[in-house]
Amino acid sequence: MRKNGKMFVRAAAAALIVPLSLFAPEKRLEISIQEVLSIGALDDEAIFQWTGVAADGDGFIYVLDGLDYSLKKFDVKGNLVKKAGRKGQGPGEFMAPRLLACSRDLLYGTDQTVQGISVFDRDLEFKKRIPFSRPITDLFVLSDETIVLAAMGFPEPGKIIVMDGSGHVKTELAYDEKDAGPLMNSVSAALDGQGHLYLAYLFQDRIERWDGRGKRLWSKSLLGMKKPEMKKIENLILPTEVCYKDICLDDRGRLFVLVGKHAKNPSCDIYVLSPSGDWLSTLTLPDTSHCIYIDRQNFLYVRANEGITLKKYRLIYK
Amino acid sequence: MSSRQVNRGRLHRTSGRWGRRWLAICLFCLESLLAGLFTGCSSAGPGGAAGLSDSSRSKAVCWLVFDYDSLFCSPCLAPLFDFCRSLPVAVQEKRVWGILVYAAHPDRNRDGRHAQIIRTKIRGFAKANDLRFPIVLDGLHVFDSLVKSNISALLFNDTHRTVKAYAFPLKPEEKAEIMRQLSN
Repeated sequence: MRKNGKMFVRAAAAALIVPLSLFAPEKRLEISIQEVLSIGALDDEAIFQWTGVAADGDGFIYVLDGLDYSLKKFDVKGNLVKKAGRKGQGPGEFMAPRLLACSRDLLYGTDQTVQGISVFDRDLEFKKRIPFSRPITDLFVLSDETIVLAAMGFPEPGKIIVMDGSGHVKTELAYDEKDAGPLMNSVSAALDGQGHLYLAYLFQDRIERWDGRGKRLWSKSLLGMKKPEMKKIENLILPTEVCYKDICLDDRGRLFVLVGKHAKNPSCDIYVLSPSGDWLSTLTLPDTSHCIYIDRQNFLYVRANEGITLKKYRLIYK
Repeated sequence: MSSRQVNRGRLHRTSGRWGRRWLAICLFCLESLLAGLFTGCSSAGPGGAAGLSDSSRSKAVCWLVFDYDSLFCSPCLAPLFDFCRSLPVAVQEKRVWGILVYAAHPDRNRDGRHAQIIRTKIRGFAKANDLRFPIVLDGLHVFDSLVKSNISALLFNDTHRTVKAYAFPLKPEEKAEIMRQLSN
């Protein structure tokens, strides 16, 4: 951590409650899922290609849709409440919407081709755009003054950046100092209640846990891969296979890892790990997903029907 | 859609072996389209029995061929959108077809679900981008080779008995020619 290593700890502790079970030794688990809601079907026009999802404390679900360039709000029953946005680069507009996160009052969305973070209120009214110039590979919000993002860099190292609501950097962690090549330091990130940071490299077989002072606690390779497959595209040598697609934490601090091509069931298998990185269980989704998201009530959200459908599942632990 | 120019505006009626092959492919496609062989095809539209009056049937129609993957690449289709925005709505609705090429995944499309998913997606995409022309799925994959060759537009002119192929982005004179023929 370059500026203030304790920032992660303070920020996370203020926003999240540390469950006592986190400190208990973990045993192997059996986890299953039970569908509680499905939004979007082949014969309706609720969703065309959802990319980012977030849920607030009242059960409203917010979705970024990449094919109609919109931000959508659904109620607890899955009814479309409101839709905002259109194609463009102006305020409240999208070209290629990607990531979505929410605080108590606000929504934060990224766009692959438009710099910065667009901020909306819960009625989907555009409020502002937080300036940020680098590609963002993951985003979560602890409060409206503590926004955490993973920024991809080349030739700069990848960084985890904590910024305030105006875009001022509070602290940053350069997690990958060496020049690994373009895209190679892209990560999905998650932060637990103790301020520990988890990173899953999208194009490397690496999952890591860092403490709040910027020290790497462990690094794991779950897939047994030595080198990712690369391909030369124009002048760049780029990875072609996604190792880990996304990570998130459940309410007990267990790490959920959506595995890409090298899983037994690619883009369906979720490895569940303990905070110390031990494998606890594998959960297999019925359909492929590009991301996983667990809300504050511990519901799991994933994709189905190639992005037309959003599934909400209850996690059942045995 | 690459900027590489392939067969730009070539008059295929007189272009030798490849030209005859293109013409044969295009005629096959035209017949297939009219016969409703393509997924999602309807009888209405340019050249279709219900789409145009007898007097307008002899005029030009344009097929825009694009790849499903390009839907998720905002800059890739920018030249196509630029072209479409310059077309009057009536021309888009009556003289233009979109042909969506997609990769054949036998496992994914065993029950036709993948095609149905694409059809749903294209509805939202067309609406959000204000595309007024009908878009059909190339379920037979006869247009795959065109996309690989960067051919993005085919202009049929019944009066001149010609088929011309274009790659995007169009040169200004190519755009003007297509506009002129479609507007006549």
